[in-house]
Amino acid sequence: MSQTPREHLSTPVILSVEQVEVFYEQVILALRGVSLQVGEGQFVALLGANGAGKSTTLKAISSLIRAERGDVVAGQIHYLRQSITRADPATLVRAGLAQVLEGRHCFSHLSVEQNLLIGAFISRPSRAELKVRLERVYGYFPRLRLLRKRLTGYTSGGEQQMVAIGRALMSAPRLLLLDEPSMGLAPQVVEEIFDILARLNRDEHLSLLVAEQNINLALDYAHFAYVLENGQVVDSGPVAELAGREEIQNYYLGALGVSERMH
Amino acid sequence: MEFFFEVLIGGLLAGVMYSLVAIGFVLIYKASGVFNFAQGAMVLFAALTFVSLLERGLPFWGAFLVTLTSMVVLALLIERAVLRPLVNRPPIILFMATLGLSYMIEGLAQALWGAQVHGLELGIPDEPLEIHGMLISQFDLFAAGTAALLVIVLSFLFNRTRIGLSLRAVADDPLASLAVGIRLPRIWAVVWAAAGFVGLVAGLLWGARLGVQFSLSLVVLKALPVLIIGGFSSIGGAIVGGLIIGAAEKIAEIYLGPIIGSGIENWVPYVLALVFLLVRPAGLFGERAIERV
Repeated sequence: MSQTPREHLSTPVILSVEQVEVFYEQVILALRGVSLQVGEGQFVALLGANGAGKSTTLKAISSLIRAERGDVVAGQIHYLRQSITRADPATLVRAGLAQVLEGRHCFSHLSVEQNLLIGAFISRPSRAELKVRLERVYGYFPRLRLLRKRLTGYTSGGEQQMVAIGRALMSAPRLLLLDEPSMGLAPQVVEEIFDILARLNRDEHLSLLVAEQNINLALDYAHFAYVLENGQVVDSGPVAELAGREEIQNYYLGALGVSERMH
Repeated sequence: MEFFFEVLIGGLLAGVMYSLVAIGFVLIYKASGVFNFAQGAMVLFAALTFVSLLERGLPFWGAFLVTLTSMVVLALLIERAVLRPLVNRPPIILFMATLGLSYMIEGLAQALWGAQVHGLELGIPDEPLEIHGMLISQFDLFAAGTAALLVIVLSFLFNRTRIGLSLRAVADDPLASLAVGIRLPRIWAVVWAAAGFVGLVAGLLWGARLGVQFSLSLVVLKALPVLIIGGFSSIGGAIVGGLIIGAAEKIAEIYLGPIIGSGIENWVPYVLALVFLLVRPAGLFGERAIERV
């Protein structure tokens, strides 16, 4: 019943994750053989409840997992046909694979514009190039231009999410990983942000892999989706197909029930 | 009244000497949240290396450059051998590591250059200047000028350069810094090298005043109240904290000393620090967490 995007779409694959297993602190098994693919220019959603392994999957790809004492112990990750399993995060950002972290993680004691500038440093742009990239981000997020001198810590949650996305865009990525971009934001702000993501995907051919708990939102915007449960992919397919299935809401509701019981 | 101002200015200038040591702490604390107990040992290492090279016939600037290079090499070694393996550990573990490091650097300095006391002459006349009837030490003025220059250079580094901005980013959020491609080991190496440079400057001035000897590494203890008052993460705070401590201890010694017994300048700074801990734990300029309402 599962499909991979390669079977579904004829675009070349930009990211491929094969049978990846992840341990934290060498004892906690977080991913048990996750496989997924993102086609070039594709908008792919990674769905699942709290603790299903969405963040871990993204961090395994971006190698940030090692900063949290996690490690990929089995499996392969390829980006643009090159193996990037356990690569240095800085090398990945430079090669065009950037991640927007869960909970935004802005540099709160720096201004909005400084946050954005730092995002570009890895590719060592000239002053002129830096300005072009800044203008592009302000083009997508006009509100950030008005706030550019403001300390980021004093902006709203939605604005911080825009800073986080804009900062990642400053590195001129080809594939952007986003971890729960809707978390804690008002519905109209979420819609605004996803509209911009869809525009980036459509107009600039930016490939996206977005982890989301909000299934209906993700199914509205993405082309293809994977469903994670207990560190494994349990379902996948084009969104039109998944949206029609009964189980999809059950995964969500069932898992939500579990997480609510835990709290 | 003139006597009071003479005491005050003398105290302020002496305080700048404390600030010089405190700035080294601030640099490392800002970028990694670690209180580097080894800063005093770095001051000793720098001063001892410099004076030993000078005694072996190197000219002033030659000795300065060689010492500076050795401080940078030391910083790179520390990053590789101590900081990198301990990445993502709680700050207390890194603090313990710097405690050990402190003894290793002290030992290394004395193994290399011996343990005898050296005199250090920087060529600054030690006669006091007379300004408006007040006697002011030329040496202290020179030290204050050096500190001012150092602060200008460092604030340029922090606010106007890409590496400086990256440094502040790392101080703010290490995980996000990784996510935007900042190479943390490189930042740590830069910060420790900068702290080594500050240690060298502090070592020369303190060495010229006290003689280059083992007890130089104890200047860390004088920097502690300065940091508590000024805040651990602000260079401006280190300067202001130093001025407050310097002025307070001299004024207390002169005016309170005859009443409650002399020698109080040794403990007045710590009493002040305690008061600040009770009233303003983040210090005057310490970065408080931003909380939105």
